[in-house]
Formats: sequence, C-alpha cells, structure tokens
Amino acid sequence: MKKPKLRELKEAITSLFSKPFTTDFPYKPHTPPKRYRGKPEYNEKECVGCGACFQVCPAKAIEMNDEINADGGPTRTLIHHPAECLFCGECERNCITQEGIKLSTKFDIAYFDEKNVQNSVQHKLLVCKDCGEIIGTEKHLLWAFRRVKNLGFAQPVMLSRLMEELEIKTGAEEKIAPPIQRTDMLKIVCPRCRRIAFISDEKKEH
Amino acid sequence: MAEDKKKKVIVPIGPYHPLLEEPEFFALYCDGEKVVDVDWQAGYNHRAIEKLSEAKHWDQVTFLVERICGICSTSHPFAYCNAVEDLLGASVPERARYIRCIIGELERIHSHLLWVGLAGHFLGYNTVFMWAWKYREPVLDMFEIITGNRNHYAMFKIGGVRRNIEEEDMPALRRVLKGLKVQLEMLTHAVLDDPVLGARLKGVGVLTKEHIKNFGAVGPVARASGIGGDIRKDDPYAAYPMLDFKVITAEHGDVFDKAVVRLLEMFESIKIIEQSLDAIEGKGGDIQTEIRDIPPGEGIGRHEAPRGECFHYIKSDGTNRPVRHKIRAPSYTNIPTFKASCIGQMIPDVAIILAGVDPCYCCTERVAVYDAGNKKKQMYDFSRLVEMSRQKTEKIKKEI
Repeated sequence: MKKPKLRELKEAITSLFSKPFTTDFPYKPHTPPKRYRGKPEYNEKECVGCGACFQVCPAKAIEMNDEINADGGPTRTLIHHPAECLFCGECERNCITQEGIKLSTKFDIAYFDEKNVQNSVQHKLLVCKDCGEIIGTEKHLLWAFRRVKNLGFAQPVMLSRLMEELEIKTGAEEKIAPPIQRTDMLKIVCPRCRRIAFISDEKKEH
Repeated sequence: MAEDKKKKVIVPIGPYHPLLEEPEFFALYCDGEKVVDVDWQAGYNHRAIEKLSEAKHWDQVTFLVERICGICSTSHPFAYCNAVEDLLGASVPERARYIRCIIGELERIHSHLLWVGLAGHFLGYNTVFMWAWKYREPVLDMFEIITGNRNHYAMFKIGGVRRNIEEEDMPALRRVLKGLKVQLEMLTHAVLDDPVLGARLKGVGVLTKEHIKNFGAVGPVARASGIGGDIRKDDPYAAYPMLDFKVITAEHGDVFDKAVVRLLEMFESIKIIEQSLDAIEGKGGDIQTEIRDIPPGEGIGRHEAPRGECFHYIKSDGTNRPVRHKIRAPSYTNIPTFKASCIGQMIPDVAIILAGVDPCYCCTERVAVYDAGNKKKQMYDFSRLVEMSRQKTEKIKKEI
C-alpha cells in the first residue's frame, strides 16, 4: 500500500515543478511542425488552371467557375473554401505542375467573413471562336506545349499561342465568319470545330 | 414482459441530438437501485456513409471512411484498403506495411489512453484523467509531425501509404515511446494496485465466455473474458506476421479486466512500433504501388481497431467507384453486451459498465429518470449519473 503511493507521489512532485503542459497559444505564437497539413494555397505563378484539384477534391471544397461572358474576356476562377476542406492534401498530390497548389502550415483560419480566408486564382480562358466551347486556359496550353516540345508545332492552338508569346501577329483571335472553313484552322477553335472545318473543306460542301 | 416493465422505474440514457457522434439510447429498467433490464436503440444519426462511398472514387473513399470515427480514424481506411487489396490481389511494399503498422499501433495507444482517462473521470479519479491525457499528448504530437495532423492522418492509400515516415522523425518517435513506457508503467501500476479501484471495478459488469460468444463481442471486451480473438494474429495482414507481440487476455470479464487488457495492450503496441522502426530505419524503399484500375469483383478487409474487429466489404463492377460498400464497426457488436453486463447491477455502476466497452461516450450526454408507475418525469443530465458513480467510489474509499 505504501509503495504505490510513493511512486505516484514522485510523479505528482515532478508534475508540480515541471512547466505547464499546455501552451499559451493565443498570447504566444504556435509554430506547427514542418509537414503540418494546413490551409491549401494557390501559387499564382505556377498554377496553370487545369482544374485537376477541383476534380480530385473528396470534399468538393474547390470551386471552379468558368465565365465566358466576363468583361475583359473569358476567365476561369478556382476558389478554395477552407470551411469544406479536409486538409487531405489530394490537391497538392494531383497538381499537374506540382507547385500550383500547396498546403501551407496555416492553422488559424477562423473567420467572420469567408472571403477573408478564401484563396483563389484567376486565369484567362480560351474558348472556341466558332462554337464557344471551352478549350482550356491559356497557361495550361503553354504548359502542355513546353512538355511536348517540338510536337506542339502540330497543334494549331498551341502554335498560335506560342507565336503570340513571341509577339508575332497570327490573327488567331479574329472572329470566324460562318461557315467555318479550312483557312480558319489556325484560329482558336475546339477540336470538334477543327474537324468539321477540315472534313467539310475536303468534301467541298461549302 | 411489457406488463412488468410498466411497474418499474425506467432510466433512459441517451441523446436525441443528431449532431453528436454515435448517439445511442439506453433505457434502464430499474427495481429500486437495481437494474433488471436494458433496452438499446441505435440509428439516431444515420450518415449514409455506405451510400456516400458509392458516389466517390476508390481513392476518395479512404478520406470518407476516415471520418466514420474521430478517435480510431485510421482503422476504417486500414480495413478498406485491405478490402480493395484483397480484391486486387495487390501486394503492398514492405516499407508501407510497416508504416501502416506504426500508424495503427500509435492510434491504439492514444485510444486506450483516452479510455483510461475517461474511466478515471467517471469514477471520480480526475488525476487519472489528467495524467492519462497528458501522456496521450506526445503521441498526438508525434502524429502531427509524421502525418501532418493530430487526428485525421490521411495516410492510407490503396496499394500503400501517402506519406513516408522520414528518417529525421524516427529518433523523435523513439524518444516519445521511451518516455511513454516509463509513464505507462507508473500509470498501469497506479491503477492496478489501487485498492479502491479494485473494490469498485472487480466483479462489476461481468461477461462470461458464453456471453461473448452469444453476442459476438470483439476486441478488448472479448479478450477480457478470456477469448483471445485478435485479427492481427488470427488473420495476419500488413506487417503483423513479421512482428513479435502477445495477445493480452484476462479471465474474469469484469470492468477491471477490461482495464487490465487495455493497459497491457499499450505495452505490446510500443513493442510493435519499436520493431517496425528497427525494420525500416535507414532502409528506404517504395511506399506505394501504382494501381491503375480496379477489376470487377468483391473483397473483404479486416483490421483490429482499438475497440475490436473492423470489417469492410466492397464490390466493384470495374468502374472507378464501388457499387457496394458494407462497413461493420466494432462498437456495433460490443454495445448489445450491455444486455448481459448491466443486469443485476446498481445504477451507479452502469456508467462505468457502459464506459467499459468504450463506445464513444457522448452517447450518455443526457439522463432522464422516468417513473412510469407515478407518471412522473425527472430530467437529469449526464453529470448526475457520473455524480452517482463518484459518490459510490467515495463510499468505498471511506470503507477501506
């Protein structure tokens, strides 16, 4: 009976003289560990706006808005809502550039207004000049062009984007006067419209 | 029977609030202070997890099943990954197997420490509560360092694990385990040698071997009654066949033995983690295999969660979503044992008997006493039940 009490007394005395086990968090800043999974944040420079994070998110915490009729051209906005986020890190793992969205170590994301903690990134969207269908973001196409290297010259949209970057006038942005013709193939058209342009020209239907 | 019940006092225990995790409802039929019958109802918070998982990709389901339980949040992904790998016939890289074991066993330690603390709290031993939760904190910090979160680890992936345990984190993990061993030694002896706890818990809520077999109870509840069922030994998976550990059993099946089993199991868990660390330290290697698609078929997976066997069944039709996902959590089979363990006990003992099974104990957040005979109704909150339990401990303390 006596021995066990002594053992516990030792622990009690050690506890009494050791520093408090809790931290003074709100008064002293807390540094999370290096690999802490905190709030995901977009890197505006590296994100290409492919929307992979939107597709893989298990909690649907990432919102993708494609606005075709926006002022200043069509845009794609990716918004991360921390309230729905599971902090699983799937967006980071599946990011095609590996740098576009990264989990930060920010843990203190309580808010009064969700806008203060939301994280978003905006990209210029390319839409088909003929049918208006979304092709992809401009940055995504250029990223893909750099990956496929010389093969990219076979792709008219990629080629025109690249020439635009080199400040060569291409006329790719010009509107297509319907019906679509083979000469319009170098303009920004979706794969479906390009096929129509090519085949209909072969058949000489127009 | 219904006629009998009307004459007795009925003590319903259980929340009706759907926001609480695992709400359950117990009605105790009492004759004076003695419990003569127990009724149990579940299903107050049906979250449709099985249906939801049919709408998620194979890879996304791991995050969904992780959120079935907040405390044993690695058990469900573990069992789910076992099920999908059973269907695939895929083999997991060796390093990933050991990492899975480390995460599973760390979780067992923190879950059992949480139980010890809560049991102390219900009995009026708040020092046990404070100390056990203090010792649990380094384990959670270790989780934060290794996986990036204290609770939902997001480590499991079909065919491996998502994150590696870095070599630089291993010394810290070993240090935590070494410190924990000393503290657990103290805590175990402090609990087991205490004459008051012995008098309070021995012979309370006894479950015999027949009870366990009839109710199909699993985990520490079954092992406390002398049935050594442990999935880690009976149906080895992950790295468990390569590891040396004992299955802890006890004989009497009362709440004291359940505490003994849980306390001693933590030492086995520490042993397992140390062996796993020895096996992977400095060796490197893959942590996941690439899995392209899931063929049609069905698979089952099991894992020995801190509370017992966790079972997952999945059926695939070759698409990227499961067509059927069946989950059976251990508490589901353990909770009906109250029908055997509570009968013949006093109301103050019921709190600890219910806690002995380790259900998520937000289940008894409200207590209402109905006197069916007099048509009177008295409402108590959960603290009243705990208060009664503590008063009994005080009484025993004075007697000894």
